[in-house]
Amino acid sequence: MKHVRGLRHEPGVREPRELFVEVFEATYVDVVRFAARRIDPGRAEDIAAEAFAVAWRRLDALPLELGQARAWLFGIARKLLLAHHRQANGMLLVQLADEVGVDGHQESVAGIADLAAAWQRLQPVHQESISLTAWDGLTGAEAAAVLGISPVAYRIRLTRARKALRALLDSTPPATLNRRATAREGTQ
Amino acid sequence: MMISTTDLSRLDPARAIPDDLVNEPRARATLAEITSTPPVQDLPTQRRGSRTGLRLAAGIAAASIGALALTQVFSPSSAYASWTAVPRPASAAESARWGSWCQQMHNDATPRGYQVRLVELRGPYAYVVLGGSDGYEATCLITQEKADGNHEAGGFSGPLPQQPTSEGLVTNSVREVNDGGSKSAFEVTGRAGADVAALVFDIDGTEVKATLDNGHFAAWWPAPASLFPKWGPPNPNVTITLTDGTSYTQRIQAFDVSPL
Repeated sequence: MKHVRGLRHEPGVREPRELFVEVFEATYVDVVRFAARRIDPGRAEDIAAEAFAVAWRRLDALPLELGQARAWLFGIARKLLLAHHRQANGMLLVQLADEVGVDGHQESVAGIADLAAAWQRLQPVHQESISLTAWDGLTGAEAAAVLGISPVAYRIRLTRARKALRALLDSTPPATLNRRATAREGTQ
Repeated sequence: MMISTTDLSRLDPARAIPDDLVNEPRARATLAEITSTPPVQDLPTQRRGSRTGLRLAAGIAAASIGALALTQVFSPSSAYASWTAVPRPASAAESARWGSWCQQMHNDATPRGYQVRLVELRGPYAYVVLGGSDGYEATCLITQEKADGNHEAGGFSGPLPQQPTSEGLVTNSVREVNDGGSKSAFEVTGRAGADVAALVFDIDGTEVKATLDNGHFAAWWPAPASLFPKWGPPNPNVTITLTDGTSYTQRIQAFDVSPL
């Protein structure tokens, strides 16, 4: 996970363009990754470009703390993705990698396959809750802001999502390795 | 089975994207293209004046708060133009029609055996709250004018693990719902105590009356049609009038017990 630091604090005032460029440099790959988890990865940079274009047009609303700015950009990207998918219920599926890198141990391959199978059965609302912290690296407050819910709501939502994933894992038959799990021997 | 962050990271579809992607030609071209135009070009005229000569001072919280305020202006005329702050109770026929419509919509997606808890009407819009056997709630926002209804938005929340006090509420707080495009609304649902007679939300100066029906309450209002998310959900004041005629006011998040 990438650690997000605050924007540079310098004496005096800074031009909006300078601030935007700094945010772009620091968050571009994160926004692309955010999109790639929710749409064809080949289109992720299109979504990112659109999100930054939107942010440029509303530069006055750009949070000055980098973590919040990143979450704000994720929120814009999420709305663009919802519009793209025409999701009326406001929830986004979070995809898995086509090929899953694991070590060469059969147990590990099976475990990852089980997790992938459980994830596919997880409700989108739970997928989003988990992915925002596990993959997108947001704090609870930032994830709540992306989803447009209160931090209290997000904490409980995340707890429930983790429980739901564990329950699905517990109810999943032993791995059949039916997913495209690719063992990459000697890489771990 | 334990779930580790490492296991999850192996399933991340974005893990192959390189850290230095921003240095690639496509990213540089994107930045150059975006910043080749003046920023803040689509602000309304009356706000553009305040942007003249804007210079941001890093770390000055007041600037951030001021910017957020611009995005939170309550403007029901911009979307859901015929929305009304005071709901009209649905007739039995309207409740049956839109309740059934919403049940079908949600049960098609996730069969749960939802029962209709509440139906209210605001202008041309029907709003339905369903209760699931698992304690979850599901909602539908519907345009009635279309012959077969038109699903504007909806969502899931809950469960609500606690009962309200006789004079209080339990809720999942305010949540944003949207039509998948540019129209968004905020909704709030939950349970009200036995002594609660009326609920009114203060939405940026507009009094939005909630529907209260058999211990359940609901209200919704248009959100600014914008791609710019504000920081966090609304946390409006709600004035609770009790059956003895007294009332008190609290922030809605004070009653937030279970938000999923």
